[in-house]
Amino acid sequence: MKKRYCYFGLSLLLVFVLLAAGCTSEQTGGDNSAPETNEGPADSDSSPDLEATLRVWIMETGSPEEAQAYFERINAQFNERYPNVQVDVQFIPWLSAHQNLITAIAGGNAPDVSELGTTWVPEFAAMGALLEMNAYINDWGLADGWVPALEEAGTYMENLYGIPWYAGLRQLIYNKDIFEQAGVEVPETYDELLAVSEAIMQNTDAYAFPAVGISQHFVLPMVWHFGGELAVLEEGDDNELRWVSKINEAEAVEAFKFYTDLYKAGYVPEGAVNWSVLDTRQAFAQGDLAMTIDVAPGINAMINENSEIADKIGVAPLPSKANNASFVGGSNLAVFKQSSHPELAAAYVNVLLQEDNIAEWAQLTGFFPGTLAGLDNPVFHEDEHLKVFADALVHGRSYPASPSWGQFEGDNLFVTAVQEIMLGNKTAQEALDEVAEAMNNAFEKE
Amino acid sequence: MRNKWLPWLLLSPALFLIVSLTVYPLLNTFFISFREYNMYSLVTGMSEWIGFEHYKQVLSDPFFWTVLRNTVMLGFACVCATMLVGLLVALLLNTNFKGSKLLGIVILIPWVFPSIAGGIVWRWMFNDQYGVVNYGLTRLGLDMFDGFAWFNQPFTAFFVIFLMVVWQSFPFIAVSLLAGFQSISSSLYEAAEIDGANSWVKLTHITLPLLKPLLLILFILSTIWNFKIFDQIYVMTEGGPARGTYVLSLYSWSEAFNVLNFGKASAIAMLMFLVLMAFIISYIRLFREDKEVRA
Repeated sequence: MKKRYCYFGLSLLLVFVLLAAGCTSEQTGGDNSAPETNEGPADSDSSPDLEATLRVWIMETGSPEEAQAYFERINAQFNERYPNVQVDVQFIPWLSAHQNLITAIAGGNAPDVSELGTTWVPEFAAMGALLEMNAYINDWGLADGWVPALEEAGTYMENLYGIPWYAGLRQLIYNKDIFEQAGVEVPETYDELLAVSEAIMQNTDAYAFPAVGISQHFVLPMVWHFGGELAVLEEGDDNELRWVSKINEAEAVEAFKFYTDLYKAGYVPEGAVNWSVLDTRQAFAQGDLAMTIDVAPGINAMINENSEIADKIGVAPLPSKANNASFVGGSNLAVFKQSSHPELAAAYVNVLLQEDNIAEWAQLTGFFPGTLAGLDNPVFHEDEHLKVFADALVHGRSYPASPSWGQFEGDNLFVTAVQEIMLGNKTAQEALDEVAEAMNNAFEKE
Repeated sequence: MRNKWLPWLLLSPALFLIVSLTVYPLLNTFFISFREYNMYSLVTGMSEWIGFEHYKQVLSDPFFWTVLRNTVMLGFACVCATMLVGLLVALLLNTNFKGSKLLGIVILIPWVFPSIAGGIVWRWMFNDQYGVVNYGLTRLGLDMFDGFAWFNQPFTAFFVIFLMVVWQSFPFIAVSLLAGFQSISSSLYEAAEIDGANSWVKLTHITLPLLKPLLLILFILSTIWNFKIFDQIYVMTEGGPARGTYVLSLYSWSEAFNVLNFGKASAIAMLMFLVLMAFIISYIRLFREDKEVRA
C-alpha cells in the first residue's frame, strides 16, 4: 500500500511541476527581458551586442506568405545593427486584435511594438499604455514628414504616440458602362449626384448609390462635406480642453438626412439597411450598383469577385459641397510602455519607416505610406486609379482623436443612428441628438 | 487516519483547475460588477467601489429590458423547438426504416458545423438580393419575397437566427433521445400492446416518463446553450439593425470590449446568470414535484 501512495505522490508532484513550468515559461515569454539587465541607463539598451527578444504584433493581411517574407527581410535589416536581438513577429487578425491587445495590456504582457488601428491610438495612449514618441521622431528627422491625417490620428494631447505607417481612404468608384448607358458624367457636387442617381435609376437596371446602413465611413465624411464637424476640442469651465460633439448641429443633420434620403429614394435595395461594404462590393462587382465608395484594395476584391468588371471601373474624387475631404484611416505603429527595451523597439519602428520599406509594405497591403517621403514613390502616381487616391490622401481628415472614438465605432453608435433614420423609427435630428448625448457622456469621462 | 488527506491530495489537481478556471472568474465578475472598472483600471489595476450603481443603472435602462425580453423569448422558443424537432427526429430514426443508420449520421452534420461558418452560410442564404431563400420563395410564386430584407426588422431577423439555432442544436437532442429510446426494454412495449395501447399512449405513458431524467438534462443543457447564443447573432446581424437583435450575451460583450465598461458588463453578466439559474431551478422543481406525486 505504501508503495502505491508513493506513486500517487510522485505523479502528483509531476503534475504540479509541469503546471509550474507552464506558468513560468509563459511569464518569461511575456517579460522577455534578460533578467536584471535593466538597472543601467536606457542608453545601454541600444548597445549593438545586447541580447534580447522583441515581440512585434502585426495585423494579418490578405497575403500571409508575402507578409512573412517581408518581415524576414526587415528582421534581417534590423539584425545587421543588432545581431543578437531576436524579433518575434506575430500576425493577429484585425477582428480580435483590439481584444487581444487589451487583454495583453491588462496582463502586463503587451508586445514591444504593435500595429494599431488609428482610432485605438488615443484610447491606448489615454490608458497610459503607449510610449510617447516625440524625441524619437526628432532624432529620425521625421517631425514634419507625415501624412497629416494620420499624424493627427496618432496624436493625443499634443504628443505623438502612434507613428503613421500606412493609410487608406475612400474615393468614388463608378461603373463606366452604366454611366454611358445612362448618359451621365461623374458627379462633382452633391446636387449633381442626385441628378446622376435619378438618371441611372430611370435609364438602367442598376441601383445608383450605396446609401447602406452599416457604413459610417460613407456618411461621416459627408458631415464635413456639408460644412459640419463631428466633434471639436473646446475649453471647458475648468480650463481643460475637452471634446464636444457637433453631430446634432444643422450641417451634420443635413448630411445624415441627405444620405438616408438616398436610401429612402430607392437608390439602393430595401435590404441595404443591413448592407456593409462587403455587400456593396458584391453588388458593384455584379454590375448591379453604378457607384460605390471604397478603398483601393476594394477594387481588387471586386475584380476577384467578377473579373469582367475590371475594365469598367473608374475612380473619381468624392462629390463636394463645402469640401470633399476623405476619411483617412489606416494603421499606426506604437511602442508599449510595458516594453523592457523601448530603445530597441523604436529602432525597429525606424527600420519599418525607411522609404523603400514603407512603400513596399503599403503596396503589399494595397494602401499608401504614412510618410510623405514614402508617398512620393512613383508607383503611387503612375497608376490612374491609385493616383486619384494618392492625390486625395494629403487633403484627407481623420476622426476626432478622442480615446472614446473607438468605443463609438465598436458600439455601432453611428450605424445604429443611420439605421434608425432609414427605417423611419426616428428623424435625423432625433437620432443625432441621442448620438450627441452619448458622445458627450463619454467625452466627459475622459 | 493517514488516509484522511489522501482524497484531497488526489482531488487537488482537478480542484485547482476548477477553481482557477471557473470559480475565480465567476467571483471576479461578481466583484467587478460592484466597481467602476474601465479602461484606465486595466492599466493601473485600480477601481472604485460603487456598490449597486451598475445594477441600478442597468435595471432602470429600458434597453436592458428589451434585450432581456429578446433573450428570454428567443431562448425559450429555441429550447422548445429544438426539443420538439429532436424528439420527432429521434422517433423517426427509432423506427429503423431502411437507411435510418445513414440518416442518423447525416443529421449530425449541422451539429459538427462550426457556428461561425454556419452563421455566414445562413446569412448568405437569407441575403435580400442574392440569397437562395428569396430565390426559392419567389420561384414558388410568393412575389413578396423578391428582394425581401429579412434582416431589416428585428422580428424577421430573430426568425432567421431561431431557424439557424434550431438547425444547429436539434441533432444532439435527437441522438441523445435515440440512445434513451433504445435503453428502454422492449418488453414494456409488448406488455402495453397486449393491453391494446396505441403508439401515442406508448409514447406518453412509457417512453417519455422513463426518459424524464434524460429530458431534464437535455432541457437544462439546451437552455444554457440557447440563452448564451452569441456567435450566430454576432455573425448574422452583429446585433443590428439598430441594435434590434441584441441578446444579453452580446450586450455584455459589447459593453466590455467595445465600450470598455467592464463594471457594467459584469453586472449584465451577473443578471444573465441569475436569469439562467431561475430557469434551471424551475425546470428541476417542475420535474421533481412530478416525481414526488407519483411516489
